[in-house]
Amino acid sequence: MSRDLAVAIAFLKRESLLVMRRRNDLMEPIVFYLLSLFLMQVASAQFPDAFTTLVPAFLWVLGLLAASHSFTAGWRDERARGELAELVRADAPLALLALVRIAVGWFSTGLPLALIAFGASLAFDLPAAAAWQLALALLLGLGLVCLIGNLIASLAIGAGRSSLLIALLLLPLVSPVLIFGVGASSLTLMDAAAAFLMLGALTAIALPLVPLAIAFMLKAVEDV
Amino acid sequence: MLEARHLSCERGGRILFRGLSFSLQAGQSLEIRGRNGSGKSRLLRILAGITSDWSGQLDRAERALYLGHENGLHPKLTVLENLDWLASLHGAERPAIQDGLTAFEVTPLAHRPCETLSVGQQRRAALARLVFDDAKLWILDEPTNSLDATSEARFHALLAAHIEVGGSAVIATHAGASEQARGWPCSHVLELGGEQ
Repeated sequence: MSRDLAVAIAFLKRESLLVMRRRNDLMEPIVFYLLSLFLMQVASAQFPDAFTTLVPAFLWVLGLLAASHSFTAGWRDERARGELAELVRADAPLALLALVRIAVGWFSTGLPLALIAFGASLAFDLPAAAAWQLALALLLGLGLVCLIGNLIASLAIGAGRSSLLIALLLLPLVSPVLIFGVGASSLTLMDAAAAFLMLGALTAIALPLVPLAIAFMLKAVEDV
Repeated sequence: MLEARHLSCERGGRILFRGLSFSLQAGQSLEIRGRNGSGKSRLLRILAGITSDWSGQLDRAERALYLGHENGLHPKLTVLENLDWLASLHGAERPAIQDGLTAFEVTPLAHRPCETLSVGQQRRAALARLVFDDAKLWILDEPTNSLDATSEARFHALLAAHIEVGGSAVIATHAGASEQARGWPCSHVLELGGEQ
C-alpha cells in the first residue's frame, strides 16, 4: 500500500472516530432540521396548498442551513492545537486528507439530512417518485455544500469571527446549488434532468479543485 | 544533517533575525536561546519546513520531527488514538508506540481522552512521539514546558541517548536556563536577540 493511501486511511479512521465521539455535535444539524420542518409546517397550516407546493424549497433551504452548522470548527481548532502543522507535514498530500474530511462530513451530515428529507417529503404528501428525486438531489447538493463549506472554513481560519465570515461567503456560493437543487427536486418548476446535470457538473468541477484549494489555504495559514 | 546560511526573517515590519548561519552534523545539538518574541519559534518552524517566509539558504538532509508549543493532540481522542494517528503519518509501528508510552509513563493514561489530562500529562503524551518516530533530526520548541522534574529528567536522558546514537536536535529554550539546568549535551548555542 502506498504511503499516501495508508495516511489517508488512517485519517479516515481518525475522522470516523471523531464523528462517533462528537455524536452530540452531529445531532445538532439533524435536530435543527427536524425542528425547523415541524415549525414550518405549523406556520403554514393555514395555507396547505401553498405549503405542499413549496415543500421541496423548504426542505432544501433548511437542509442547507442545517448542513452549514458543521463547517466552522474543524480546521480552525486543529490549527490552534498544532494538529494542522502535522497535517501540512504529513507524508500524504493535504488535498487528499481534505477530501477524506469532506467525504466523512458528507456521509455523517448530508446522508442523514437527505434521509430525513425523504421521510418528510412522504409525510408532506409528495409522491414517492418526487420524494426519491428530492432526496437524491439533496444528497448530491449537500456534497457540494460540504466542499464549499470546507473551502470557506479553511479560508476563514485566519479571521477572528470565522462563523460570520463563513455565513457571508457561503451565501453567494451556495445560491446556485440551491437554485439547481430545488429545480432538480421539483416535478413542475423546470427540467429536473437538466438541473440534476448542472448539480452533477458543479460537483464534478468542485471535487478535484476544491481539495486542492483547501490544501493551498491551509498551507498558507500555517505559513503565517 | 542541517545547514543554514544567511537566514533572515522579517515579520510585521520587524526583523526577527538576520544573516544566521550554522550547521548541525549527526550527533550534534543546537540550543536556541532568547527572550519571548525573539524569533525562536519562527526559526524552528523555518527549520522544520512549515514556514517559507524567510530568505537565505537552508539544507536539511531528511525529515525532521517537529514539536511546537502546542501538543498536536485532539482533545476528544484518547492518548493512544492520538499517538496511533501521529505514528501513521510517518509509518511508525504499534509496538514502538507502546515504548513511547512507557518511556514517559503515559501507559496508565493511554485510554483516556486527552481533554481529561493535565497540561503536563498532555505534554508527556506528545513527547512520547520522540520514542517511536524514526526522524533523526528533532526540532523542539521549549519541550520541557509544564513537565515535572521526573519527566524532565526522562526527556533529558532520552535526548542524550538520541544524540549519542547519531541523532541531532535543535531545541529552543528561554534565555534564563543555565548550563547546569540544561541537562543534555549541547554542541552549539545560538542566542537570538530580537532585532528591532
